[in-house]
Amino acid sequence: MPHGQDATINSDGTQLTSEAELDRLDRKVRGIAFWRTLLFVLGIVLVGQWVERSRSYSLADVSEIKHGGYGLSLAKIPERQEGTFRVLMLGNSVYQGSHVGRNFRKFAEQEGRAIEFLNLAQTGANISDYPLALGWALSQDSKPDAVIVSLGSFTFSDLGFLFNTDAHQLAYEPGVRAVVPGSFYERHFDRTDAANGLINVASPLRRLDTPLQYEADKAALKGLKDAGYDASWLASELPLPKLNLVLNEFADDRKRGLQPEGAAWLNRPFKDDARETFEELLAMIERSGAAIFVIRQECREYPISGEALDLVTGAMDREWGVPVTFVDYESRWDDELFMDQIHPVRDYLEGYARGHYDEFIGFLDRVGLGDRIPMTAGEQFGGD
Amino acid sequence: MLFNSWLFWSFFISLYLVYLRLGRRGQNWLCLIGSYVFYAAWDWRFLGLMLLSTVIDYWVGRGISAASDKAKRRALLVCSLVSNLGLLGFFKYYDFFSESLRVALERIGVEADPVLLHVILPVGISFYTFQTLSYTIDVYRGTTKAAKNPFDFALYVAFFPQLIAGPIERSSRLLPQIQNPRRLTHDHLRRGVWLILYGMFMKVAVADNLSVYADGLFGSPSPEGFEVWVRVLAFMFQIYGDFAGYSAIARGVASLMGFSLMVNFNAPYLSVNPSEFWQRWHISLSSWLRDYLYIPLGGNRGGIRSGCRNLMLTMLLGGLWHGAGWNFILWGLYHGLLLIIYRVLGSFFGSKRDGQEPLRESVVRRVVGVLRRVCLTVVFFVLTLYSWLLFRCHSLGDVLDKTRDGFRFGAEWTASDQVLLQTVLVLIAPVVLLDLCIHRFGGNNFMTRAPLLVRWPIYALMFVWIYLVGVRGGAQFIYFQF
Repeated sequence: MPHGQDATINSDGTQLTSEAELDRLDRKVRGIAFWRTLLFVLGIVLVGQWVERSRSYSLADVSEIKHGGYGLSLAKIPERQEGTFRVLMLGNSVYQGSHVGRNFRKFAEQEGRAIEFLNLAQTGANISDYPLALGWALSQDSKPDAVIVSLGSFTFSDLGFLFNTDAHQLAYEPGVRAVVPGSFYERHFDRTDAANGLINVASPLRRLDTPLQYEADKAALKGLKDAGYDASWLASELPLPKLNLVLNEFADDRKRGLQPEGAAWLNRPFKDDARETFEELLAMIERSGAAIFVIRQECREYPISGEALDLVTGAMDREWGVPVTFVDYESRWDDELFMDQIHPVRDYLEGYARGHYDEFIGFLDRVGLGDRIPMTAGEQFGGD
Repeated sequence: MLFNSWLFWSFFISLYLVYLRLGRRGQNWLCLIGSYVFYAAWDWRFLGLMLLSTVIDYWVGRGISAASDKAKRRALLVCSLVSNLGLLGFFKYYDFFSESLRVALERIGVEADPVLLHVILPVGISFYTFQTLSYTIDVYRGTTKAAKNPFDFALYVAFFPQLIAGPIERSSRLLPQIQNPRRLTHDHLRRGVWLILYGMFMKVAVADNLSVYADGLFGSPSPEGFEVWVRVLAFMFQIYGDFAGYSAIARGVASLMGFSLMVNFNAPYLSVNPSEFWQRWHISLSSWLRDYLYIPLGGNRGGIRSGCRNLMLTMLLGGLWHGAGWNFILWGLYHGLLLIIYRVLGSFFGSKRDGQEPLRESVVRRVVGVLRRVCLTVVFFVLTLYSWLLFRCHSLGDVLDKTRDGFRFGAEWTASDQVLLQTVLVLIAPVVLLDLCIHRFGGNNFMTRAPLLVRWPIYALMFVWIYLVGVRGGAQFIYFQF
């Protein structure tokens, strides 16, 4: 006998009598379930692909911090032009969304230097994302002359769970696999990561979920406000994505009754293999023949992880043998210029980029590459 | 592989699409392999423990079934009890009892240094151990036939929807569903979709949002007065949303595959007394404790005194089942005490009519009946609220501190207290509404009986609410730790 009373009831409420009828119903329902499930899956895949494509942006025009939907895997590295000096930029949201690449290009043009800046920075990227972004560019025969590796407050901390960059998707690109060391894959891609990467490849909705929820929340709040009810008090109380992790975490800590000093930021676990990954990254750059320029993104000690701060401000040079350039904004730090303690405010974007650009050009001069930069009459190259 | 993760749903949908194309035996094989993959995704090393438990209990079940000698049957049962409880005791309680012994000896001046193993608790061990135990006991009692096919039995132990956090199924319910032909009906699909949606709503839209407020109970500065109780209220609904959500998703997933798992929660916070509460909260565990512990201990057959002793012992072990900690023991004792008081003062608290419709004698009596029920619900709700404070605390010291803080009402009621209360109420309001519907319309499946035009707009509303305020990131389910 079949299990469950409802097995003998037809969908229209009539009683089924024979085994044959029950079997027929079973086959029919299984068929319906199969095709509906399949359609559902196809829908998720198609919607995900469509959303990613509609949200992706060209490397030539980034004007704001983009979470999740970078679409790096969809972009194409432009062909290398004769008579240019090509620079790849690795970093996180500061380099991605604070007009750093755009301003670099502007400064180079003003100075008549034919430098092509390709900005591979991704919001929320940490050290594990860097080799994959670089591997993706190298696999497309990008032939860089120099690579800027910018290190942020959380580059070496384990924050991958908070962000969904393109890294997992890029990891599946055959070209990337050929360039990134196998040891990196072994350390970073356990079964769960590999499975999540595959899901991201099939449907980027998983990766884009946070920014999409953010936009939906914004739209809903606006709708409610237009209808006469201001629900912003509730939105600020719920742990909804604010797309600013510092604010997000501080708000949650406040709700938990913790002081900001107790915020998880200060105690984020430092990645065990941070140094190994970093050295793999440097080795990849070296193999490509490009010069390596490591620079620290400015941030105050608060709320940066003390361990990370120590590393990027001295220990890396001392212990890892990697010189890190540091633009000393600390001594003239102004909260008004870094409202969220990490990203420069709009009015300060150019000033911020200027400090970095000058250091980079100084570095090229020091290593003897300054003379190799072709001079132009103001042509435009690449972009961020 | 959490139910609230993309990974789980990718796993399930892949499995399901194949499942729908297979015959029953093929389906069982697929489910068994899928269940082991599901479990191994947590930690493959503990798969061996589950297999050991499966082999022992299959062998014991066959042995009991074949033995005519009562002594041999009993010996086999003891073998099952010792091995299952031994595994559970070793992994879950060894460190706790060793440390407690050390502290106790220290108090009387004896220095002891017992070896602490610091073993990781294998996920789901409390659930599948109780499930396999119920099988061998039922076979011993003759209420269940021993499974012939070892793979059917293995699936009974490892069935992935309910493997990690229940419901703790009985062999008499689940085994026949595995052994006999299953037929999928429209009702299975309708129920499955509803339960999954309901479960996700309870988990990501309610429980995970409330967790930050519940955590604030141990924040700094320490909350006082009314704020303590608002935060305990948040925890009360967090744990309900979390656990009831998991159970509902488990039942929904099983239903899509043509299985029917037992109801684990039935609007528990609308109970009017402790006895009713335990018929509505974690039903699969409370009925297990009743059938395999309370009744064998003698139940209420030996008079009020032995009945109370049995109740207290059962609740004490029920508390300990949740974890190796004094807070859980205290929680069990508190509920045991409530049950005893209710039993002793039963005539004052009301008769068996409490859980039923008021008598249809007159409008006045009906109104009085409803009012009485409302009042009793509120009183018992407050008593349950305190029990969750015990559950949430980490130590006896915490319990005393938080209780004291809870009764310091001198602090000024601030705007942030107001917002806290408002937010918690907004989050728990849909749960209360759903519970009222469950209570009024007869069980968790009430929505599947609603007309299409009512059902789908409500589904859409719940989906939108989940999408807008649901917490992402696949937060752990609280009951996984048990």
